[in-house]
Amino acid sequence: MTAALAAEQALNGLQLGLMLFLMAAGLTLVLGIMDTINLAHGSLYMTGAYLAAAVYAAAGSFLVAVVAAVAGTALIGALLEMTVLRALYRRDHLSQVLATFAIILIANETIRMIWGPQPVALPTPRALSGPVELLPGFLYPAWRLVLIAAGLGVAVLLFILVTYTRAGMRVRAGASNREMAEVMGVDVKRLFTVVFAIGAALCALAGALLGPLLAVQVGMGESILILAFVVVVIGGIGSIRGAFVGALLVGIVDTAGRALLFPALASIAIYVLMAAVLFWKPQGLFPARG
Amino acid sequence: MKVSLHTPAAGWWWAVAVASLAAFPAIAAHFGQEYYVGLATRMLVFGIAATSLNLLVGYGGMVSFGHAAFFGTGAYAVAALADRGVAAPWIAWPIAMAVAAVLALAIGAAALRTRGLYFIMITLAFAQMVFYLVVSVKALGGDDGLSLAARGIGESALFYTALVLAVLAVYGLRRLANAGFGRALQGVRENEARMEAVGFPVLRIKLAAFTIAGAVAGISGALLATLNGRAGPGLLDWPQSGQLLVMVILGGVGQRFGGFIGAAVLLAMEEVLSPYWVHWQLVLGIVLLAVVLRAPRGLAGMLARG
Amino acid sequence: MLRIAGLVKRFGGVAASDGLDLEVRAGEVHAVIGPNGAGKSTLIHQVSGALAPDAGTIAFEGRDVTRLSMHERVAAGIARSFQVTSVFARLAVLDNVALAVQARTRSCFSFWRPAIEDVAAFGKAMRILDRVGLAARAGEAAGALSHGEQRRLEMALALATQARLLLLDEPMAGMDTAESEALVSLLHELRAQCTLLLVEHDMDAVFRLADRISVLVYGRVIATGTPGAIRANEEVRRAYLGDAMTA
Repeated sequence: MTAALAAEQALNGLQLGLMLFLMAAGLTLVLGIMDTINLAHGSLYMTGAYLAAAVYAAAGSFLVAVVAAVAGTALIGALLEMTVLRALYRRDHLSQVLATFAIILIANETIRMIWGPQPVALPTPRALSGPVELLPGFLYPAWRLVLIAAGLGVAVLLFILVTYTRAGMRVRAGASNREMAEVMGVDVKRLFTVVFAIGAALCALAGALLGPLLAVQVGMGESILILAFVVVVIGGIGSIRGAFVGALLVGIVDTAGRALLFPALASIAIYVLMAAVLFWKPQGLFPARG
Repeated sequence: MKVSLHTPAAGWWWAVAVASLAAFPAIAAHFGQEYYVGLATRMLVFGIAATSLNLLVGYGGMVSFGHAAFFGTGAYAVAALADRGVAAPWIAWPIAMAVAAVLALAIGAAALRTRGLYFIMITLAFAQMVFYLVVSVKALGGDDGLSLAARGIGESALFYTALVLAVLAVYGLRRLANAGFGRALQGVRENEARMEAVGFPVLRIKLAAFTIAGAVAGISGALLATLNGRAGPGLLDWPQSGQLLVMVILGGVGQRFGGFIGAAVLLAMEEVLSPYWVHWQLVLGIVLLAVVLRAPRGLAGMLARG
Repeated sequence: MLRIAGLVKRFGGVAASDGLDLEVRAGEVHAVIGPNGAGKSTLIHQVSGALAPDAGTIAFEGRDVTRLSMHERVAAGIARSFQVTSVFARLAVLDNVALAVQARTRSCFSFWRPAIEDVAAFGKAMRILDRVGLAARAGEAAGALSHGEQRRLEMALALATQARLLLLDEPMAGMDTAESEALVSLLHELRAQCTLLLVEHDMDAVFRLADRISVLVYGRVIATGTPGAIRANEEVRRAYLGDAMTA
C-alpha cells in the first residue's frame, strides 16, 4: 500500500466517520435524553436525500436543495415528534421499537409510491465534482472534502452549542432530571421537539451530502442507521463526544477493513470492534448516564 | 392488574383446532386448493419462530431485534448441508437447530451483559453482522442465496411435521413457563434487580432463554428452507427480525398462542392484500402504529418496563 | 460474623468509602448512621455485591466474599433489602415469596415439572407470610399493598432467602409512626433468626433496636459502640452538628 493510497483511505475513513457522526449525534441525544429508541431515524436521512434530489431537479442549485432538504426534514421531524414520538416517551421499549418500525414501513412505502423503487439521481454539483490536488501528486475528490468540512463544522457547532449555551444547558438539564427541569421553568416538551428536529436536520444534511456518493433509494436509511447504532453503542448513549469518537472509530475501521481484509472479515470488522468495546466498557466509551 | 405466573392448560377448543388443522390437507385437496397447504405450512413455521421470540420478549422481557439471525442461520444450515449431500430432514434439521443454538449462546453471552436500549441495538447489530458475513461468503450463494437440491420430504408430510412441531412448541412453552425456569424467567421480566437480590443467577437464566429461543428459531428456519427449497439472505436481514416482532405483538405478547395468531394474521394480510396493492405494507405500517399507540392492555399488559 | 477491612470505593474524584473498617458480631443488630453523603448506601451495596470495591476485603463467617457475585452471596447467607421498595408489583404476594423460597432450591433450572406442584415451597412461603403478618393478603397483587405492607413483604423476601446476615438500607424510610412501630417490632422478631446490619436515619428506631452503632463520616467509621456510648461521644456530636442526634 502506497502512502497516497493510505492517505486516501484515511481521508475516506474520516469522511465516512463524520457523516456517521451527523446521524449518530441526533440519535444519541434522543436515546439519552428521552430514553427512546427511534428506528425511524434512518427514514429522516432518506427523506433528506429525496427532498434534496427533488429540489435540485427543480431548482438546479445544490445549495438550495440542501437548505430545502434540511429545513423540510426538520419540519417533518418536528411534526413526527409532536404526533408519534411524544406518545412513546413513557412507554416501554418494545412499543417504541414497534411504533418506529411502523414508521419505517410507512415512510418507505410512501417514498416508493411517490418516486418508485428505482434509485433517484442526485448528482454532484459540477463545480465540485472534480479532484483537488492536496499535495503534489495526491488527488482527492473535492466533494468528499466538502463532506469532511461540513462534518467538522457541525461537530464544532454542536460542541459549542451543548457546552456553552443556555440552550445546551437546558438540554442537559432535561436529560438528567426531567421533573426538576420542568419545575425550573424549562419547557421540556418544546425542548424535546427542538432536539428531535435538530437530529432530523443533521440526518437530512448527511442524506443530501451523501446522495451524490451513494444511491438515493428506498431503504437507504436502514443500512446507515445500523452503523449509527453501532456508533452510539461504542460511544455511549447520550454523549455527543462519544458519538464523535465512536463515529470516527467506526468510519476508520470500516474503511481500513475494506481496504486491507478479506471481504468476509471486512464486512464484520466494525461489529468485532463493537463487541470488543462492549467487553471492556459495556456502557460505551463515554456514557452520559450513570 | 395482577399477573399470574402459571399458565393453565388450554380448553377443549385447542383439540378442535388441532384436529381441524390435521384434516386441512385432505379438505384442501378435495376443493382443489392444494396451494393453501403450503400457505398453512408457512403460517405454522413462522408461528414457531414467533413463539420462540415470544418466549424471549413476552416471558423474559428481553426485546431482541436480532432474532432473524437464528431463524436465517437454521435455514442456511439446511441449505448448506443439502449442498454437501445431506438432504434428509431428520439429520439436517437437528444440526440446523444445534448451529442456531451455538450462535445464540455466543451472541447472548455478549449481548445479555447489557440491558434496555443497549440490548436492542446490540442484538440488531449482531444480527446484521451475521447477515453481512453470510452474504459475503460465496459458498453460501451471496446475494442470491442458496437453493436446495432436493426437498427431501413431501409437501403433505412437511405440513404434518410442521403441525406436530407447532403443537410441541405450544405445549413445550406452557411446561417451560410453568416450571421453575419459566417462573424465574418471568420473575426476571418483572423485577430483575429483585431477582438478583433474592439469589437467582439472572444472567444464566437469561442466557438459557436466549439460547432456547435461538434453537427453536433455528429449527423453524430449517423448516422454512425445506418448504421454500432455498435459503435467502432476506431471512437474516433486519426486516425479518421486525416481522417476527410484529407477529408477536399482533398475536399477543406473553400469550401462549401469540406467536401463531400473529403469524397467521400477518401472513394472511400479506396473502390477501399484496395481490391487490403493491404498497400493502403501508396499510400494515398504519395498522401497527395504531395498535401500538392506542394499545389496550394487550401490549402493555404482559410487558416489563424497558 | 462480618469483617470489613480497608474498604475503598471511588466515584470519579470522590471516595464514598475511604479505608472503611467495620465488624459485625453474630446475632447482633448493628446500625450504621452518619450524615448525608457519608457513604452508607455505598457500604451496603458493596457488602451485598451490587458494587465491587476498589480495595479492601469483606469476610463473612471467615470466608472472603469480596469477589463473589450477588447471587453467590445470597447463597452464602447475605441478603439485602432495597432503599426504595422493590417487590414484584404485578405478582401475587404469595408468588413474590414463593419465588424467593424457590431460589434456594435451584429450581430455576427445572424445565419441565410445574412449579406449583412444589407444595413444600408454597407452604414455606405461606408460613413466612404469616410471620410478617401478610398471610391475609397472599392472593393480592403486591403493588396493591400499602407502603408499610410492602416493606413487610420485603422482610418476607429476605427471610425466604434464609439469610444469616440481613442488610437493611433505610428500612424506615417514608413510614408514618404506626408503620414504623410495626416494622420495629418485626425487626425485633427477625433478630432471633439473623444478624441485622442496617443503615438508618430514624434515630428513634436506631436507638431502640441497635445493640451497637457505628458512625460513618466521609467514608470511614469514626466510632463504634453501644447506643449510650455513641450518644455521649464528643466526636460524633461534632460530626453531626447536632441535627440528626437531636431529632
